[in-house]
Amino acid sequence: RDYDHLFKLVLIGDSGAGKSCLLLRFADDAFTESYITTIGVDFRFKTIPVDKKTIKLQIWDTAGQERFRTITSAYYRGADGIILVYDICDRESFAHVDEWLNEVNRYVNESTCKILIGNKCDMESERQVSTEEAKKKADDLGIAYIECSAKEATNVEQAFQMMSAELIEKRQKQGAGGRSGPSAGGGVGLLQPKNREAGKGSCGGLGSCGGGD
Amino acid sequence: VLNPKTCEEIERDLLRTFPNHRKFRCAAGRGELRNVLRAFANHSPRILYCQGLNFITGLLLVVFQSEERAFWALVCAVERLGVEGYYSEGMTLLRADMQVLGTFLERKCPKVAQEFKKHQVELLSICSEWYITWFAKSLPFYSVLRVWDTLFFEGFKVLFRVAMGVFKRAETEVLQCGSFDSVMQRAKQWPRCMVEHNELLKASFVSLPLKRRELLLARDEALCRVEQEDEEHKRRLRRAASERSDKSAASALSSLPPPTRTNTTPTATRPSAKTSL
Repeated sequence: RDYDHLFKLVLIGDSGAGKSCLLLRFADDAFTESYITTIGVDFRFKTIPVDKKTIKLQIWDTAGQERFRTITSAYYRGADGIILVYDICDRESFAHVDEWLNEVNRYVNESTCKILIGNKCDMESERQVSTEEAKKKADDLGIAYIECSAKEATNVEQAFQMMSAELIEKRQKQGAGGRSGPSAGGGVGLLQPKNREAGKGSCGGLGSCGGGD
Repeated sequence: VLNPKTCEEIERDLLRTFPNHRKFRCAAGRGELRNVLRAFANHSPRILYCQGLNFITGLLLVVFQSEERAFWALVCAVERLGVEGYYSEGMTLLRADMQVLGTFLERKCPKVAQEFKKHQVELLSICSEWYITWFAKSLPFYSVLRVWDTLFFEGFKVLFRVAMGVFKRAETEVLQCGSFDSVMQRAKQWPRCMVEHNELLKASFVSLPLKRRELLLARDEALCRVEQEDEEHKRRLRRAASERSDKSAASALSSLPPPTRTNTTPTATRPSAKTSL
């Protein structure tokens, strides 16, 4: 295999926060003003170097509308990292951060890395959530915070680097006793709950239920 | 009067619906889209607005060039083609249909199904967009029109036919993928490449026997499974909530689909599927 670690990440957050644009910037280093609504889920992967290691990231981009959660929850179950995105120019999307975290916490366990991204930081004049407030919120929640602009490519790469570095550290701490290296496939792995108790019997309607590891 | 949340959801998607199309580049076209989506939300309180309907409505507006006709076409299609449960809370019918598609793909297109299984690819990841937008977002323009002609005539069954038609046409490429990443990366391109609409329709309809009765039966069974899973899931959450007396988890219950079939409206789905035009 051509990488040292494989991590599965999921982008979540309110509709219109800029999840797809962040992913487009990260994966293709591109930006488009004419982006289209994500329906269901999208997938991208990218290999990046982090601390002399080669990291492969499999990233799921999800639809933000509430009713899609019965579908998208299958993807954060078993994810290594959760990237929670809000729009700094939309207080509402920031107010929903707790709700999103409650939602994912029902499926993931403590070993899952989480990061809060305030997107669209290029639009300073329309800002509705101050950096301090968001920073405090992230501190209270015990997760990392970073402000990005998919449009101007500010901090996007850094956000994914940050996440990867934290995941590497976690995985190394777990050492041989923890989860072994990356699994070969992608799909079912996502459905395998890390926390057996939490995931028992819940296949979210997906065809194959990946029982246990 | 429409609730502000729905209005906002619609508003957010106006600029993200076929943004490169002449019609929606200008405010007037987006205004029409807004009007039809709001009218639909008023008319269908069970659905209100669901992402994906923006693409369907957009295409209807392009075809009919009239808000009123687009609106009625949308209402009739959603209510009568056997797809209403894709859009209501929980999206139960969509999840059921993804299971059904898996079963039929194994039978009608075994090599592709095998390849997906080998690389642990879930159909839900690839096909939910096809079903939710009736391919409006996925196929080239002229191919969608051909597909819609048959969809409006035969109902949801066509979604299964065309999904399998796409996989059949793309079979060689699917089999060349060789990895999960490769399948997922290329999957977007398969429908997008289907410019030869005659060939796509042939692959979807010729030598692909698909009995409506069989489909409905499989759908019923899958629907039961999905609802059972939701029930189980809800029970587990309730247990966890009472154990931790965690308010947030308890409140989260209210956002889940109800246990009974009231939400999936099978009574509306099944007979209408049979009688659809």
